[in-house]
Amino acid sequence: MQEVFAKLYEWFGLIPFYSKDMGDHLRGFDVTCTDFIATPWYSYIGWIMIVTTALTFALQYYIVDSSRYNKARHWWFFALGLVLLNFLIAFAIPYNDIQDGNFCNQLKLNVSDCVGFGFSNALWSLILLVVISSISIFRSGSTNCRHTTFWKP
Amino acid sequence: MKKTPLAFLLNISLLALALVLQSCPDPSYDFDAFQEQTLDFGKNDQRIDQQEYETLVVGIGSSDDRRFQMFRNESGEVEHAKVAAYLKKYLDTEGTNIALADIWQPGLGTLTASSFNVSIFLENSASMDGYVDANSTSFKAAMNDLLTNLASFAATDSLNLNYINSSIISLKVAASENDVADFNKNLNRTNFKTQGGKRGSSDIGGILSQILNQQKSDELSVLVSDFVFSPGGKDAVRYLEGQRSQIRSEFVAARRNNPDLSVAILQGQAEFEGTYYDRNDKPHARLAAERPYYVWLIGTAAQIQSVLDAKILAQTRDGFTNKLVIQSASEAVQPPFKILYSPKIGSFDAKSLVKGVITDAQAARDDRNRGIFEFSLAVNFAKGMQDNSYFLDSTNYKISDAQYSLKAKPIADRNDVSLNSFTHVLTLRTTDLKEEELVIDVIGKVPSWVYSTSSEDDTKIETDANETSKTFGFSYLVEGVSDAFYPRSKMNPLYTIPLTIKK
Repeated sequence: MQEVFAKLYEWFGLIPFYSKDMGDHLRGFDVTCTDFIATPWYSYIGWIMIVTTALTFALQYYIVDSSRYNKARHWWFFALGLVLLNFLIAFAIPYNDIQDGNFCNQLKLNVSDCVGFGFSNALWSLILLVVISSISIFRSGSTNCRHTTFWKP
Repeated sequence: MKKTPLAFLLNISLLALALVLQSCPDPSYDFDAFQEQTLDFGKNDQRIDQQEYETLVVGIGSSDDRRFQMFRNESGEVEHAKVAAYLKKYLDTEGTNIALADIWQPGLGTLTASSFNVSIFLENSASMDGYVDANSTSFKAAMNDLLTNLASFAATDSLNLNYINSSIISLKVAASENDVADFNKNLNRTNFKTQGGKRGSSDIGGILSQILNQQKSDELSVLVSDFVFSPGGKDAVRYLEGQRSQIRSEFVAARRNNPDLSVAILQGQAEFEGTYYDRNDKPHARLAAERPYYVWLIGTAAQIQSVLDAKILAQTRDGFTNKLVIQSASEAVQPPFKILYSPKIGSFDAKSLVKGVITDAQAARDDRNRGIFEFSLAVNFAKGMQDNSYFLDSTNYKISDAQYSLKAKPIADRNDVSLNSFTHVLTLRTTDLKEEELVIDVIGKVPSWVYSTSSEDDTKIETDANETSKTFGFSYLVEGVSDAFYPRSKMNPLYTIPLTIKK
């Protein structure tokens, strides 16, 4: 799974939002620069992104499930919260590692890499939310939001 | 029907959580547990003893955590050198600094010599008078430190004191502290003369022959001399070549009796005041200069290793400027090493670096370095007996692909956790990158310092300041020994580092 998430976050090498060094850190290149035996952040953050997206969807469509919040703009409000949360998670974890020196010193990491990874994670959470909420069967159990998508009503 | 999608979503969430948990390592014994155990063991008494080490290795063997793969070789066996190196690095990173020697490893004790006799042979020919006559006490102080350290060395069974020139002059067998003190007190020309022997010339080949012929396997011989040949007016080059040949024959014969025979040669500097005899035996009176002298250790590799590890020679006054160890090159050793992620020119993938494999290698494409591929290795040569400087000379390396060039430098930053169990960084560069098995060998040969401190004409020693720092015929002497251990027809690898380059 680690490599699946790695490929997603690195956009299959097409649009690198952050450096290859940051990619190796997130794969778990350890502090002694020996092997990929440190925390596999790609896996952890990837699964967190999926879970938070599913929970956000459940929150709007099944937990809140209110006729007051069933417009497209409300969808975007929930999406904004999700995106910010995922940006924050993906930014903060490598940023803390950099601040604590908890990374292989042969990797050249900086704050812009953290921003790039945060952005990449936020974007994937948005894409996933769009996909889930666009599939009508997932919405069909909702009382008040079964017609709510990112573009309507 | 209404609840079905919610249940479906919850199921997805639970499945995702289960997968998160599943992606964590085996809970019974994983790498994190291994690290915790290592910390407990290390912090406990600043060492990893045999029981603790074996506990860790059993854990590695029983776990299927993929992170333990770095400790296994291709056949799946645990490589203890890698485990120990990682333990040290990890404990250092966590602020528990312990020496590699404090981590028990199976088989590490095999090179530890049991106690042995040490026989000192101080050459007392006339050419040595200048060292003991000098107003400066540097030579005497160095000898005093050397003998005192050897006498108190735990592995020294008994210390025997001898002079040597045309014959061995035994002064004391199983010397006591008082005997050592007397020996040092009597380091002077008068006593040298009194003890006798033919002091007029130095037959180096003969001296070495005497030592090798009486050498026992449980004995370490320590020979102290200026090692200046005395051709006595003969054709100097022919004489030196003859001596080289004789010395080679002596050591070949000695190695036949003792295959584990090794020689360490240390060059020190001491004040010389007196008469110097040049290659024509012409005396140069009142020569006052700092001159090289040498201490040779002749014994088994284990004996020499134990003396060098105990820093008996390094802790003498003024120490020694150069060191050379000549040992059997029958089996090349693979030192602990790792490919560094950076610095590099070009690019490669880090995934298989721990296995010594560079994947996805690409030469640089920028204008400045176009076509160049460069990477570095951190290597630990500390377990070897060679001087650190030996590994800095790129001519002492042989690379299987001649298109690669190599530069070596010592690791100066002891605080760098990624390098702190390594001694040298080797940087390899090529402009012809291709897929291959690249082998870097450190070969046994005479190091460059021997040639830079060797002379073939010492007749102008009084006027040529450069000549005073050299030893007449020294390179022939060392070549004689070297040829016996490292035949010129062979490559004689001492260490080998195998790498794989994949594009």
